[in-house]
Amino acid sequence: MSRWYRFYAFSIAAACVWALYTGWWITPVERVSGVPKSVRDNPGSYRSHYSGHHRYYGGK
Amino acid sequence: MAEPMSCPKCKAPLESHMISEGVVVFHCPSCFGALYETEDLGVPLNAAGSKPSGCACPRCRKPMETLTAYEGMLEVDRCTECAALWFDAGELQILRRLSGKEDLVKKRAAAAKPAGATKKTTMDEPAPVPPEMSGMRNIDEIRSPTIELDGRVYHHFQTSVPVTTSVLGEFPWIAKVGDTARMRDFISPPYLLSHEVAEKESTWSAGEYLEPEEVWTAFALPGSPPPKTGVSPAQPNPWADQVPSILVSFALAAAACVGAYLYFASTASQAAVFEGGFSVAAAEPERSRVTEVFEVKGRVSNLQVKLDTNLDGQWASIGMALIDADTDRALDFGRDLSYYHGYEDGESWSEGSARSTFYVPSVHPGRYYLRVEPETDSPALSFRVAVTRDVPLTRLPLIALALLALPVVWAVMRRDAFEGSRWMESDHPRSSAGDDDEDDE
Repeated sequence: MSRWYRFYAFSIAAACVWALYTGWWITPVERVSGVPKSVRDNPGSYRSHYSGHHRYYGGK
Repeated sequence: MAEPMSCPKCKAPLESHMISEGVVVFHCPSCFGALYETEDLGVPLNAAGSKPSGCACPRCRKPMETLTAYEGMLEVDRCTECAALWFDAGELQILRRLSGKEDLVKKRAAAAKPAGATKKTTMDEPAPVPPEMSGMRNIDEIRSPTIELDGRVYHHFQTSVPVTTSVLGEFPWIAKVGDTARMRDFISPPYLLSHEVAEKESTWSAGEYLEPEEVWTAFALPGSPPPKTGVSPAQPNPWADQVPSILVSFALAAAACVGAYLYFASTASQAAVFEGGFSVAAAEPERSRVTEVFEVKGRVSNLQVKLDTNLDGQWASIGMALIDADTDRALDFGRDLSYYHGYEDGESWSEGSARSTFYVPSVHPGRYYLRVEPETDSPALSFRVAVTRDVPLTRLPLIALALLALPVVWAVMRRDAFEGSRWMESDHPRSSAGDDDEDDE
């Protein structure tokens, strides 16, 4: 157990340092490629993967 | 200052114990004799004769005499001056048997006890009075005496008065049905000390816990030993040795996480890279917008994105893309927001928020622009977006600490559960509330 935990603790610490260094976080972000060059001139030429999936009808 | 009292038999310093309300006895931790006040004894001695004992009274130093009681079956020393009674180890047990009374001590008010009698006479941690001496209850139960031997500290485990109910086999002594002794067990796993006091004999035994496999191998027994059940008094706790090592690893890893966080927090640039506002009307067919190109400098780091909307009883889903101006790559992300509030049944309520802060992880340095595309039921949504680079996240080391602590808590609980099982059958059962001494007292 103590040897396993030593390895586990080292892994957690290393992951923490790596995350702090690289700015890693658990926010869901999709990395995409093939974005058309015309987006700046025509924003509608690219549809975000995020768009069109969410609707919220909350409220009391 | 009063001189400490010494045992009339072995000269060891006596210790005082209050064994019931207002009754104090002086007990020898070496030979287990005990000094009683005559008036504290609740049973008659039926003394028929006396002779000089050759001992001096521990209290007044006057000569003591030996009383012959119960037709010669019991001999007790009594001071010729103050009439204090001295019982050798086992003599109280004999008196109990001869008198037919289990409780040998007369109850009396605390005010009646001799002046200074409650003061401990000598040692800081006195040995307990055995149960047959106290006549009231097992004082080992309310204390937790320890013994030091060969550098080990043995803790009291149990005091009992076993009775011989049957005899089978050969013995180097005369064994009889009805024989009693007082047994006290002390443990320092894997070692065990047992002290047995019979009428005229006091025996110490030392033992060591062996794993069943060792016994099986030593006696060349066939097969394998039966599985272990329960916890033996002297069985080593397999978690006890591991917990300190685990705690050291935890401390080192936690220090590394906290130290790294402090370092990165103190050196984080937290540089604002973009801030801008957008407005979208419900009637607009195309709601997507793009920002000017901005530069993200330095090493790979996170981007903090703050959204601040004018939502009021509406919702919005804002899709965003951080597009690399020089390549065809992008990071897609988004946020759902809603903010409702009102007043109902005499209470005001609110739900959600018109603001949101989130983090885009591991963004490489480069030139970027943002494309935002809101969907909303608001007739006129306006919102601001503020992007900051390299913002330290306090949540990271906290999550790391929680992950590090979980196995530690588990190991400590296993260790304590093992000890709980061990002490369950002892005179000092442990509860989850804490220390056994505190529980008992």
